[in-house]
Amino acid sequence: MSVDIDPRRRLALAEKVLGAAEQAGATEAEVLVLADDSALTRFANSEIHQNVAETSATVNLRFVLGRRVGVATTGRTDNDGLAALVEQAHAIARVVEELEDWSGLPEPGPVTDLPAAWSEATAAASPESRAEGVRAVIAAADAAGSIAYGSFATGAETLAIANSKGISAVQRRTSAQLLTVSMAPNGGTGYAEAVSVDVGRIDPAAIGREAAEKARATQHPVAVDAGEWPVVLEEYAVVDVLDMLGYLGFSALAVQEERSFYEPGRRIGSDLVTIVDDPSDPDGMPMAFDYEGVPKERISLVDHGICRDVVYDAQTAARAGRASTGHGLPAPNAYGPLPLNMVMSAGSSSRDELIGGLDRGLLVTRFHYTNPVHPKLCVITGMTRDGTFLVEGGKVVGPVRNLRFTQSYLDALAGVVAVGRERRTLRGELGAVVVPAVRIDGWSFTGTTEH
Amino acid sequence: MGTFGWDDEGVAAQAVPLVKDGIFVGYLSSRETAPRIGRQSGGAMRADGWNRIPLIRMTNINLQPVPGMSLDEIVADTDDGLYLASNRSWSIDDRRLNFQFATEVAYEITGGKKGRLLRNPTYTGITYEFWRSCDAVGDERSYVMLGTPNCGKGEPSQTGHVGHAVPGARFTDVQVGVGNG
Repeated sequence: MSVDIDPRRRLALAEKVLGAAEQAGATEAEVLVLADDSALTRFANSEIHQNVAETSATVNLRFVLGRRVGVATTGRTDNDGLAALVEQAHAIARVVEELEDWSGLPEPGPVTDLPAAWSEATAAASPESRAEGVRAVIAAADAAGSIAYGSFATGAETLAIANSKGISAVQRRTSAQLLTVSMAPNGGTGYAEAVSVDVGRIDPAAIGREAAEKARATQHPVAVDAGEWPVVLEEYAVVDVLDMLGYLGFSALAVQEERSFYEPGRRIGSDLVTIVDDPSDPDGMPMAFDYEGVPKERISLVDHGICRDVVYDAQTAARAGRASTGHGLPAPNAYGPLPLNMVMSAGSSSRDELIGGLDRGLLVTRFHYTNPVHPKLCVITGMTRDGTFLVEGGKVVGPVRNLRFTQSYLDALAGVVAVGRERRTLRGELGAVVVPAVRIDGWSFTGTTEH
Repeated sequence: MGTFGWDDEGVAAQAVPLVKDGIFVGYLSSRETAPRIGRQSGGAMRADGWNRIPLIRMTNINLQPVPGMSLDEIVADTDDGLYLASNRSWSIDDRRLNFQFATEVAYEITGGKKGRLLRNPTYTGITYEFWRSCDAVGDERSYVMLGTPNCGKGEPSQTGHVGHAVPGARFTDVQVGVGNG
């Protein structure tokens, strides 16, 4: 059964619940309706073994009584369910403590329509069309003598929001992601991924070939010592750098709680490093407004290595005496605002030039299981995975076993000496990111493993 | 914290030995995977909601106490070492071999007594080498139930409750690190 993701009707639902909350005595109220129609085809051992589809609609209500804020969510959109939602949020608002610095819900702003956020092809994707894509990935693995694993996901969502200050906005978005791990005999593994608003822009055969060729190339890896190595990080690894910076430092809440590395004007990267949060970049996953209904602004986070700004939601903006940048998350939100559309500027180097600049170093495909060791210094530990290679004299000489690193991502940005001219759109922990590969003059590997 | 009556395939919760006297003896398993190794499901298939496919995932993975010494007595029995407490960061490779954990605090142990407090401690190693180096496990007096409510697994990610009942233990020749900041 398909869920109703019609924008007009979803916004009407938000308005209806808003009216009920106001009638129930809310001094302010906000209703967020998220309707989602998504599916995922999963494959392992070179065959499809799951096809799952989910249709859901959730209604999230922020019910305000003065400075007391109650939040409740329901998956029911019938009259009884919505009445219960209002009653529950009201009941919570009556008993929670007052927020001393409650700044009120945000005011409406001009919302720009972003047609680039929607693809009819993605919205119409079927189990058969995803299976065709998976078939191409598996065919590439078969041709290379490897085994394919992965998933192909497609989805469409409608986000409607209405609040008592006059916000009444709706947007619809689609997304598609194909990822695969290819496993070859003798310890070879390779990874490839593609993400797009438009499933038609994903080339499954190319993704399959990339992973399978890398799996073949990583067979019989040899051990190298841990230590400081120059590296080329492929785009899949750079995603993690941006993710961690966004999570740990580019949120106004992290700055206000003094747990961020961010200081205005502080140099954290080389001149080659420019990062923005750009919700309208058509290469990413465009988003017109945030989960508070505030239009999303393009924010310069790092400009040629210099910290320029962080992202704000309504509450953190009020504390800072400025306007929200449109980076709020659904209430209740302990994380604060986050950059969900990070884009790193391309450089001028081809892939061969990036690798060619390594006299003796490592080429890293991606990272695995990274976690902060020291959040404020942005020291992260994690492993390499699915394609780590020794480079000598600017040439890839062969695969090496995976390594553990313990590395300040700030020091890594400062050590960026070359940036790729091509970029990929990939999915990070905070959303889609657009990233190039980079060469960094030093990366601290602190341990080894057996594969 | 990882306690339940039946898993999401209807298999009754049960205690499954994983390592016995230092020897690997068992697996977490499901109805699909257990027959492949000639066993019956150990009941570890759980989903984080009605609309998610169950995964084999940790339940309560416990380190059994060993009669003899309490954790305090293990400290008193240690001439030169570190006392590490309260996990705050974790990472392990895709074959669960190379791990690194950071803890909130560490104290030097000298002559059986806890002394100087150390900043930003970490410890790292290869899983089976680390566990082979275990030379003392606390008894029931030090046995505490810990765990986490937000263990992540799967793609799309699912969150699970996991329990770890543990008495505290001593390991030798562990690579450790401390940092500034």
